[in-house]
Amino acid sequence: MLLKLAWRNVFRQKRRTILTLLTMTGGFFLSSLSIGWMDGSYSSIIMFFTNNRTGQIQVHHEGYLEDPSIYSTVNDYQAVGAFLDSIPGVRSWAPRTYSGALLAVRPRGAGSGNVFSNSAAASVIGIDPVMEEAATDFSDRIVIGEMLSASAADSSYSATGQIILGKELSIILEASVGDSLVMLSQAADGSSADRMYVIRGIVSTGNTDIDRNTCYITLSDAQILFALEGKVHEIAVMTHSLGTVDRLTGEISTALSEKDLETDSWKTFAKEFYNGMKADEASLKVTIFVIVLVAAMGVLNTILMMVLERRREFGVMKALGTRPGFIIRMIVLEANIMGIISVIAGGILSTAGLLLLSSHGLVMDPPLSYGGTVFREMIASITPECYWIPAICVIITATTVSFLPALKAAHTKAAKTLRTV
Amino acid sequence: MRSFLLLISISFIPGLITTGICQPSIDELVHSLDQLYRSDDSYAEMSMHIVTPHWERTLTMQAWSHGIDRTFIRILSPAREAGMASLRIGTEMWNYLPNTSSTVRIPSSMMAGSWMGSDITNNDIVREITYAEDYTYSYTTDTTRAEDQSDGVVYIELFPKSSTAVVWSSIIFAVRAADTMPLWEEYYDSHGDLIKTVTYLNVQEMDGRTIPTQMQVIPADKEGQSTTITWTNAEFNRGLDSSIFSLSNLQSGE
Repeated sequence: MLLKLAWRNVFRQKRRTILTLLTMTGGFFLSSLSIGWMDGSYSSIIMFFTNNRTGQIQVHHEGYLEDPSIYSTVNDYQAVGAFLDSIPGVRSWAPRTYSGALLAVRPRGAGSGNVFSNSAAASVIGIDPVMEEAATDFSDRIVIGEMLSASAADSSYSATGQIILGKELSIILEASVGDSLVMLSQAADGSSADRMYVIRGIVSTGNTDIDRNTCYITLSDAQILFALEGKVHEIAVMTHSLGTVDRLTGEISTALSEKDLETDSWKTFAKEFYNGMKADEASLKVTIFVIVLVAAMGVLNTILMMVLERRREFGVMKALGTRPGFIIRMIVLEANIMGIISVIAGGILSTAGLLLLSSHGLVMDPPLSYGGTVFREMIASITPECYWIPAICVIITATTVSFLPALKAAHTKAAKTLRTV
Repeated sequence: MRSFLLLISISFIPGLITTGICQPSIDELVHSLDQLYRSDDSYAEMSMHIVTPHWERTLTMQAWSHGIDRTFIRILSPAREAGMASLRIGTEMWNYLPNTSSTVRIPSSMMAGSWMGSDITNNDIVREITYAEDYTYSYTTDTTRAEDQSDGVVYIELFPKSSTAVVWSSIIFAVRAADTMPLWEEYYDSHGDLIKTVTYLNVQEMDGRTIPTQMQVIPADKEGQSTTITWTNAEFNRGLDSSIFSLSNLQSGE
């Protein structure tokens, strides 16, 4: 009886119902889209940032992150890599060695003398050219020259090696592609490590702090030069999606813990970036709350209008002996019926909108730079949150917001309303 | 009145004599520490033994010095380092690398870095400072090494003057009073934490001078790590040719 009455009431005044439905559907659509876009843009920023350099998961020797030492190595990294390859969610992995060295270049105009007086300290990263390219698209960030290539010269200590310099480092050294460079360092066995290099490329990662003091040589070269045969300091793991990172980190960590290896997700090793993301996410949540609030106000407005318009009707109902509780329940039910219709309609609309945003994205102009990484396009992602959060918001809003006017309607003085309206 | 003054002076004389024996004039003592290894020029043959938890190795080398601002060191062994050389003129330092036949200037950012993987920094080699001129100093008894509070040992606490650019903020220097031979030095940071200990051992006569012929550096924050330098031969004031301290000699590889 109540449901039937409420259902009929909804469709009695079509224009009014459509107006309320539009407000509710609009609120759902806006909230859903902003959640999807927020989720999407954050995961794309995080994926972009981590894919660019760090990976989503890293494997080190236990304690390496707190105290990076040339001796804290991942031994037999090929075996660890083979294990990583066997995990379905892992897209690729990249082995790396880290060490410090003195780099020196001949000053400009000094001819072919052997005095290398332009010198600077730098961190030397040994990378596997093929695996690094597969994992981080390293060559995309080379601004001058070309990527390192696996070469027979790597294993010959006396031959000239190949090196890539960070852009700012090349400016400090006043060096460019094709120049000779001397590297002086110390190997893990204590002996001096020095080698002649020719600069193959200049890389700009977008993070000037890193580019100011980083150079790259091939992994096999670094392993020989620094006496680290078969060893690496870090394995960066790339996953297919951000959602699987925590699960995969746990899985890899359990399997590798007995080898004295430590597995961390980007939330640990890129802590500053993670905290920055969290802070930004909190401020965006406030924005979404405001959007939801505005939608709720719209719903309140239309329902209030509807009750005021129907005062005479409620007066008649009261005059016929309807109890106030019945009127309250009827109005709340009407609002909920419209709420459910809005959720269904909004769901369809939002899916269409999210699909569009997730395939095309919004182009950032000017591009947004975060943590040294430049983002050009924001893509929405479709997650369950895009549906259930707005749905709950709409239903709760419809119920609470309709309750107040319902209370007002229920207490309509029958005689007075019938006389005045 | 006169007899009273006389009495005072007489009673002071034994006191003066005792202090004179136990504690030599601190200025003299510090000056003698500065001059211990220093000369117009010197030539030395030495070995450097480096111990770390991961490896252990010994380098042998020849070293020439002129005044306080020129040093030239050539590594003789092991084979991988043989022929490597370091030249220091004033605050500039150059390394010659025979493997690549190149001469590399050490940038100021790396002066605090290790020399040849030892616990001796490039700065330690380059430094032109003297205890007498670049530190303020006084006798102290406040030393953590209680067992060394022995007779005949004096302790000097040195504080770098504000113009002295060093990473430590005080040094405790233990010196044998009788012959002003250094025993050990402890370097402390601004929190009062030990940075490194330098121990002087094996006092011998070399070319007419009595010097500790062994010096051991133990960094406090690196467990199981030490560097020991042992002089096997030294000559002082023989009038060295100044061409030794040149880039062309550095690159000669001889």
